[in-house]
Amino acid sequence: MSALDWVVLLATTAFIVIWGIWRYRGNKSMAGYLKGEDLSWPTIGLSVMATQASAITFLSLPGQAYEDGMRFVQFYFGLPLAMVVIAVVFVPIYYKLKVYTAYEYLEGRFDVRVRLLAAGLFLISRGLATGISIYAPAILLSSIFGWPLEATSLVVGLMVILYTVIGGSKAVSQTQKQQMLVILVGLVAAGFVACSVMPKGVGVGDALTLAGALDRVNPVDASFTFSDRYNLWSGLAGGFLLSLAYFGTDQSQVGRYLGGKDATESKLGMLMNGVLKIPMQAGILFIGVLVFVVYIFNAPPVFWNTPTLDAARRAEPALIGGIEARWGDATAERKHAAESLLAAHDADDEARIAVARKELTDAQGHMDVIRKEAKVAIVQAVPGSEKQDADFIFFDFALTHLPSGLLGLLVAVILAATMSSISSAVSSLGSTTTMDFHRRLAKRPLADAETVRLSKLYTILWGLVAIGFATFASLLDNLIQAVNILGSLFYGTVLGIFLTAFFLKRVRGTAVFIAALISEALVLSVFALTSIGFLWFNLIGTVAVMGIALVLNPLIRDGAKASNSV
Amino acid sequence: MTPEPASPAPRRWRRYYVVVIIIEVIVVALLFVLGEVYS
Repeated sequence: MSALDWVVLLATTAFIVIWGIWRYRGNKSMAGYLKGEDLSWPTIGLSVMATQASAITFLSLPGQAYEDGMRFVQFYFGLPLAMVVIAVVFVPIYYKLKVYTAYEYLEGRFDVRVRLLAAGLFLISRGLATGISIYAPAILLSSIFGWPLEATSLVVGLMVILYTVIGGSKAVSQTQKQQMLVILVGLVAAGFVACSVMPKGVGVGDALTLAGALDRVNPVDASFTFSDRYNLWSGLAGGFLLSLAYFGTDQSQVGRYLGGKDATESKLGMLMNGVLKIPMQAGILFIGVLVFVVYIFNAPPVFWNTPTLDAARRAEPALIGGIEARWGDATAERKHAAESLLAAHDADDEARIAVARKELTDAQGHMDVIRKEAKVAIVQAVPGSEKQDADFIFFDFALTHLPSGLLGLLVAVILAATMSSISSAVSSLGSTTTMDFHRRLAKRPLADAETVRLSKLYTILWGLVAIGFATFASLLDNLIQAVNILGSLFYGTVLGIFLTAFFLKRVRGTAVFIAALISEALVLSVFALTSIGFLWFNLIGTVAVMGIALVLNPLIRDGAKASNSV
Repeated sequence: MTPEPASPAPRRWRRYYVVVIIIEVIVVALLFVLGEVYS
């Protein structure tokens, strides 16, 4: 990184952290600290978007588009529908009951066991996912600066803990507004750079032609299979339920919109998220597609994790050298085929287009075979190394192609995204532990000031736990998928509890509690024993809780009354 | 008893919800067309 990169990085990051601390340092009331209270809808909308957009989004998504095309965008197709349902059903209920956490509502509707179960599932899943959110950018930063992973995780984690603990929920939301701005500017800049480093005469249309021929422009797939992770149907059904669970019942998101001036501001903020999310994610994936085309004309490495590739070269020079020589020939072959295809398109010669397309797909197929062979060889040459390297693709592009200053901005984007999602997470983990466990189970009533103090303490503790977990995380297939899979293991059950609460008015606490335990065991078994795509776990968990609760309810005598309210 | 007329607020909200869904349909349709044109 150049001096200019450092200036951009440090100025952007320091401004947000210091501003967050200074501006919200005196926030001492319980509602102000734990909720935020007076946020307007643009702040809520940006805050909700920033919470979901972790650094993983910017590291993994372009890599995913490079390898697999734009089909991942279908994962978000259910999100706008979920935002409408949340605005209609969830937000009014939370505001009416003036709750601090989503789980508080469950005690009024069912009983304390159900509240603690849902809050506990949240703490487990969010606590683990937050560790992964810290780990992902730590890889990037440690590679750039040569820092040890642990120290990087620690620095990033401590900065977030500092302003989150001092400023509370309001500092989280307000800093997220600025972080989201940095993220959007950085992304647009990266997109322009990807276009500008194409060879002379290759425009965006040409890039789409090449990417399309190699099956990278595939945003909508209407075919249906259960084992396929991303298609229109899994995106609409599974994505809808995952979004409903995530935004409607996950305190890291509920905490964002509970801080609105009133229910109207919160509802508008959620709708803003519903409108902007798919275009934003499609844009990030599109940048990945452009990066893919850039590397058609600039020979890509056979393996994107450079330190591991270097280690493999040292351990098995002849084997890896041989593979890289064949890889070099194959990339030249693909580049030549791509140039032929563009020339054929310019000449509008259908016969030549068909031949060049065939050459291009054959060349890509050849490269895919060599890459697979390289991955096996590298894992054998470097024991303990990971085969998956997609998260390093965008990182490699940034280091190789971004001009001075922009690389610093991109690292600032990664940091902003990390801090925005971690701050929401640790703030909500702290408030849930305080409100749903400590304050609820305390033998004496706690004063507001004491509650704020406890919340600060638990926020620090969860921050440290997340940093600790980050040091144990390793590349799990693809980080963004790992986070989503982890969420899907628990979200279905929690959403099932909430939907039962909202819509199955006769069901009582014991029935839903037992149904939730059985459903969670069912989802974990399906995950362990079948190859069903993870988005379906949300549907399975939700339907199982509601169905089992309905069946059990008449069979179980329950002291608690069924709710007729809300 | 005469039912109360629907307040304008829910009607306005319904319009917002419909707009969100229409925007989503347009965006998905555009993505679909993009895929069809360039595949």
